[in-house]
Amino acid sequence: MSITAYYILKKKHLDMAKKAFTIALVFGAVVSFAELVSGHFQAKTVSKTQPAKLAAFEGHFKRKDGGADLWLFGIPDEKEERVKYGIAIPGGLSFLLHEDFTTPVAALDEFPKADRPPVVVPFYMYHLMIAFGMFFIFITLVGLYFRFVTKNIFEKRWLMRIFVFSILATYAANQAGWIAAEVGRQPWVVYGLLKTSDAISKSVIGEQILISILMFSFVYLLLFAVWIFVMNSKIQHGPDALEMPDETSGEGLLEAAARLANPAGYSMTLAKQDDLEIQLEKE
Amino acid sequence: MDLNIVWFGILGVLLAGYAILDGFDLGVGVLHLAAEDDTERRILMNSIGPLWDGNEVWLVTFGGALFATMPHAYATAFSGFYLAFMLLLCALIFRAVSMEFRSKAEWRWWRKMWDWSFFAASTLATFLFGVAVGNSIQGIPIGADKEFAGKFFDLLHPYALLVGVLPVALFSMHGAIYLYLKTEGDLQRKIKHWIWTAFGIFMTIYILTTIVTLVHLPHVTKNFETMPAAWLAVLLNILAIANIPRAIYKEKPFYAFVSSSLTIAALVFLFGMALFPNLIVSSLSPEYNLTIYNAASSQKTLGITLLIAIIGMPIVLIYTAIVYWIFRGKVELGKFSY
Repeated sequence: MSITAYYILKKKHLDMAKKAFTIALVFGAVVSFAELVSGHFQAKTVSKTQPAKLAAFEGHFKRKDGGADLWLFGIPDEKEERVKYGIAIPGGLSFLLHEDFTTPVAALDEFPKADRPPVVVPFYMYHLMIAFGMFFIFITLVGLYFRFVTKNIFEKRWLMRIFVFSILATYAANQAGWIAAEVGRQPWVVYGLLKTSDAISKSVIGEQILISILMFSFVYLLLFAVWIFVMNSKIQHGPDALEMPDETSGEGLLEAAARLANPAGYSMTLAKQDDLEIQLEKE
Repeated sequence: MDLNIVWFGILGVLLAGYAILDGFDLGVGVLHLAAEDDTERRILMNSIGPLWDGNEVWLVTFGGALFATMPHAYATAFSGFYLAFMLLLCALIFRAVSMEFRSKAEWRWWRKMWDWSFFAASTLATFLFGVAVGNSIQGIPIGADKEFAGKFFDLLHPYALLVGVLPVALFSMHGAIYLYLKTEGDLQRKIKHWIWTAFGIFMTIYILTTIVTLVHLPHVTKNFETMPAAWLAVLLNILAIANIPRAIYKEKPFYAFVSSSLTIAALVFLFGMALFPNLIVSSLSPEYNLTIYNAASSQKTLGITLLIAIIGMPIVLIYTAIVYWIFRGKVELGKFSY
């Protein structure tokens, strides 16, 4: 959608771009919604298999008898062990997890201090990912409305621009989710079984790890830059013109089928012509 | 014959398979700069274009199998050789992207840059493989805790450097023979000269390495006493090497390719013979050796992974054969070529 919206804005390859955009829009809308459903079930799974991580995601610090609140946004404060300046739906987290506003949800203070994950990063990343996910649902629904109801989406340049830049949001959402998942699992590398501090290689000294992190960062940034460069030149170039199959050389599918059906060699297309001549003769 | 010995054998097969298959890919990379103009270099890259990825997968399989079946050896080797492995990863990354990015722009500086990258990455990767093998045969300082007790530059002693050069020469020859099969006309005539040069260099380094190994590390033939059938591998190796110039002279390049593949297989076999039953030899004390018994996973794991290998290997061989069959014949540069 990003690339085809770009073509539409630049008024290039319009025929292909409009068709491709529509296909991607419909698909995107369906998948965005599906992501919400899939994410919901995954969060439920996390609450069972890695409860401390879910508590960090949701900023659920203190054990409560009764429902746990769902923070829509806020600023988690690890020292004071609460979420500040936020808006919460009372019992909302319990409802999402257990379909019941009053069921307790495991809180961070139920785990020994050494086993608790950091809260700030997972909380922000998780909420960022969900925010982007909601944005995708919203923007694709808006897109569907303008494409199929008012049928003037391709003139709405402000909307096309949003779609061009939304590609960044998809990558950001993906990365945010991963960061939330990985940081939220700490201090475990295998939740409940192996701590990260026990899993490190004893013979690899700190400097070597630093060297390898720097090396990988450098290589990845370099390759990313090259990739952007190559992708951009491909996008600017656009799709190549379709090569239509040559009509005159060789027999077409129709002729070949006709030959198989009637080996006497009567061509189906010629048959039509004959009928026409007979009709004309009759007149 | 127990599961551990079976797995030692399978790891050897995976390693030999990797060396034979990615050997010619890396060899083509080492030879890349010997081709002079853009078309020749494109032909070289396209000869391995559709195949190199599937070939490199054998390395991943070897590493994965080592991790699953002999995790202590995997841990000690990969952590102990940490920086060397990071360098190797870098080399393999750049080998891959050089091929992919080269054709995406037409500028001479762009193509020259990726040509050099392709050459340097292929050569470095091959050299590092040889250094790893050299260190494995000689032994590395491993303490009682199964951890590597040395530093990165300890790995670059003269014997390892010599063994590092051997696969560069061997894979260049193997790659040159492969290219001879895949090219035609003037380029093929040029490549015939490359084969002779590469063969000469390989013979020299091979003889030197063999003599140095037998003198400097006499323990490598210890297992021959308990398994005299291994002498067959030595004989096969010599015959295979001797057959290469004979096959080239007689204009039977596929026969030469088979011979160089058998040479590689024989060398990997001899490497296994030198190691068995150890996986990593400790230079500090033999009781700290990592063997196929003290470095292995549980018998249950070995059994399950063996089952997976028995199911997986035929599938891998079949799809590999299919892909090689589809891309048989001489290289033709088309619209979608590198």
